[in-house]
Amino acid sequence: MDNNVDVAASPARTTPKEAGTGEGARELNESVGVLRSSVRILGQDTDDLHKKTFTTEWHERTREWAKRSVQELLEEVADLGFAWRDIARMMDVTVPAIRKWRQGERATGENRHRLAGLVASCHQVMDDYCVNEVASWFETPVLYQVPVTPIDLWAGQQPDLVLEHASGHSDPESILTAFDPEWREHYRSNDVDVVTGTDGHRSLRVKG
Amino acid sequence: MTGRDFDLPGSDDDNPDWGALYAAVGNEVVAERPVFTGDVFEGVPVTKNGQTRQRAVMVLHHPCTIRSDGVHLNDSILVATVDRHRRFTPEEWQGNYDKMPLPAVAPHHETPGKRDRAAFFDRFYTVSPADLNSGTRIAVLSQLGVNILLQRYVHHTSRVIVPTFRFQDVTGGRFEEADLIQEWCESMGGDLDSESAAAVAWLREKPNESAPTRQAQIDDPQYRAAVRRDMRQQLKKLHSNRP
Repeated sequence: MDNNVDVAASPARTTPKEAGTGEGARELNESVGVLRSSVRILGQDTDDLHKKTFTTEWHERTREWAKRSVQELLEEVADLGFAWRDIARMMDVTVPAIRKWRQGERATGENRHRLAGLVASCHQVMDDYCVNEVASWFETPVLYQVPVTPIDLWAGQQPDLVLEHASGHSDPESILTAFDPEWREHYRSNDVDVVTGTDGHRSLRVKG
Repeated sequence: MTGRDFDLPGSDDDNPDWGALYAAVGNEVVAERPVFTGDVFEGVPVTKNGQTRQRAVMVLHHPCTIRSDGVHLNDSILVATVDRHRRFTPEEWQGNYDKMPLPAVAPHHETPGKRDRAAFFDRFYTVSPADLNSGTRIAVLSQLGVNILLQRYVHHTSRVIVPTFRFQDVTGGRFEEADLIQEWCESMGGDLDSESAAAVAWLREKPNESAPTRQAQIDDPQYRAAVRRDMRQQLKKLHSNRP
């Protein structure tokens, strides 16, 4: 009887000594699997910790900026280049309300704090993540050809996603999915081009 | 058509944020704001069959073609009648293709039945700038409101549905320009026509020989922040040079 045939026919009855290198490969595979799980858990824990630390930094910066007056804070965002309508959206107030504050009318403590939070986030994004032209960055889509910007994230009450996006540690698709799980469906439009007409103004051209 | 083809304001289609349609209503509307697509006026004289009546109207003219020289309105402005209409449900926004709903457009009107209205696309007129100016502007649409209006009006005239975020590509620059002109005029005060002309002239300048005009730059969202900063610096300079 050929022993090799017996081994091939009934591997379940094979003893460790008779398996050759298969046992070593299985142990290695198991070890790497354990390591991989550990790294994944460590990665998730590190992600969560980083989110806590950058949020903590943001809160500290906000406390500092909140010492300034509302008009000083508004001048700061204006000097950075934000549009008043976008500031109003991110603050969840009307544009006329922003105008009144610019003219000296008092804002509530809550609005002052929220404005300080916006200014703080701008400086954190510039200082920690080397973003230049921060107002322009806020207006830049998170993902090419998907019209969701950090302004939309902030106005959607998710400032943590703005900081996460600035950090570069999450891919844009993950950021968008956290913001709107159905973003792919909402912004599916490959059938329209933007073109410049002979009068110099832009037009939409439906693809034929 | 199935599903939600026509956008509603706000992020929750089942609970829309009607206020998001408007940039300003009632006494929030300021004279410094250039007349723009979607503006609602009351008391505008319109003529039909030889008879002139005062009506509430909404400007339908596209933002790119409402002015001939960047400052002054065209001689003839296309407007739609605005009339009382009960507030549409979110589901009704998916139909009623001949209307632009205007919920809470007059939130403080003494007659509750007149606080919600609609613009009727099939009841349109052309009016002169003087006619518009003789009326009272009661509402200015937000950028989203303008895009929603264009989505509905384009569908009414052509049966083509375009997502509102695509309209943003062609209206964003002009809306930004209106914002900048308003900010300039509010900052400088004085004669509105002169300051509007000064703002437009500044926007039509090239910051340097090799750059496009500022007006062309604001068509691209990534350059708008820089133009805003430059304008605000320019305004500070103008103020400091004042006697």
